[in-house]
Amino acid sequence: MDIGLPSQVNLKEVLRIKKYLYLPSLTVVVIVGLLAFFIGPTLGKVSNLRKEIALASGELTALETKVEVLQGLDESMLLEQVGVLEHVLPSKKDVFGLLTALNGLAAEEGVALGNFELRPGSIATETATPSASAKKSSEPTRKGPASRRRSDLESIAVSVSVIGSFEDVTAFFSSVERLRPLMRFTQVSLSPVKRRSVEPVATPSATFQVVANLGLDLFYASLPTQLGSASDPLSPLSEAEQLLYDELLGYLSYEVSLPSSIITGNENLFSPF
Amino acid sequence: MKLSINLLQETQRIKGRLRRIGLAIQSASVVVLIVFGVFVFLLFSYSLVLGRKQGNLSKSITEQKTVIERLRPVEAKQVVIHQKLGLAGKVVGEPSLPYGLVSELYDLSQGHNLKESKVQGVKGETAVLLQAQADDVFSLVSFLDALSDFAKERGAIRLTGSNFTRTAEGTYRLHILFEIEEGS
Repeated sequence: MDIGLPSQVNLKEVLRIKKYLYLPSLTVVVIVGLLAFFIGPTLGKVSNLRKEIALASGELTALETKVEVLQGLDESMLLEQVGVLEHVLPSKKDVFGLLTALNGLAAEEGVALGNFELRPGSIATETATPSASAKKSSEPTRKGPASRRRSDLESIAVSVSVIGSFEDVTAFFSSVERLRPLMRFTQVSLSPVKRRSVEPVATPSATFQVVANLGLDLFYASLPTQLGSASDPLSPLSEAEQLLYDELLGYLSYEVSLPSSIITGNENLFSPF
Repeated sequence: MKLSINLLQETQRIKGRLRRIGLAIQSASVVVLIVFGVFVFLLFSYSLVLGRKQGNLSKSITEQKTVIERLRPVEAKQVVIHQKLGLAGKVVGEPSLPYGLVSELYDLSQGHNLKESKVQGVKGETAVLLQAQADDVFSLVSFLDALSDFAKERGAIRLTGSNFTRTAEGTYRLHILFEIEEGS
């Protein structure tokens, strides 16, 4: 700032007005101090807080949505759905379920089953055997013929012969893939029953009998071992999932009714009778 | 010529000017201090508000997580349902082995009095293998004609006779690969 002092003016006189500069100097010091020690750090803190709040708001919204979804679910209905789906896709190698289903269908379609062969691999599921799991993780791409794995889906190979009239056997074919538990054909062959194999099917129309050798994959899926964190999203069943569930609900199911109690004699050793 | 200059008045004038400038700077400093004070106050208040808001959010999140923990059994069931439906969807969505074609080919071979027919389809392969035996050349030709029509009807890609043999008894053994499009 040019204050235009003539050369004759005594500088000492001018410096007498330095009292006016105390406050501005103090202001500069205060501002610099505030900027360095309060405003800067506080702005950083505010910026971090804003980011954290944005994240927390998102998390809270997700949690609220999840709670809303969970509270909207009917636990008894879920239990029923889990039951149905466990029957459709068992969590373990359900050989008994497979036999029951195939026998039930065979009886319904009027065909006879024979030469049942099962290659279950390990009797326990893969998740239950640490050695199997370790082997699986070390050899991720290797797939055995007996127990195949498609991502999380596992299957056991079964072969079975079906004998009956052509119509009955083809009807059996069309229903096998609509059975609970889920199974899929891996091989189908049809041939006439040869004379020597006619004996088990003693019907007058034995010449029209056919034998079908079927290869089947029986699917199972191990249950998830971990549930995930509370903030993991959860959605209700989508329309496609509901349609699939309804479709699976219509799949044929055969169940064996076992007696609730088997009398084995006197169960109470201290009772006289 | 004598010239006199009154320097006192000039000094007073400059002093007054400096004083005014000094006062202006002081006033500006006060204004700047006030503005900064207000800014600092607002910033501090805002950080307090944000801190409080974050605290409330954390509290709400904890509450919601508690509710979710209480509903864990329901969640577990829903997760299992999702998992099973996803996997079942994969199985159901896979193209099925053409067992219908196997049946139809077998029926066709029986309709033309072929003996020892065997029709086989294997998953992952797009061809169905037909093995049969014809008593005479007329049955064979009749069957091949019917098979050709059937192939057109079913949109077969290729029909390959992999083996035709005439036996000593005069019968004909045939192996035919009936190839269809993948997924059909």
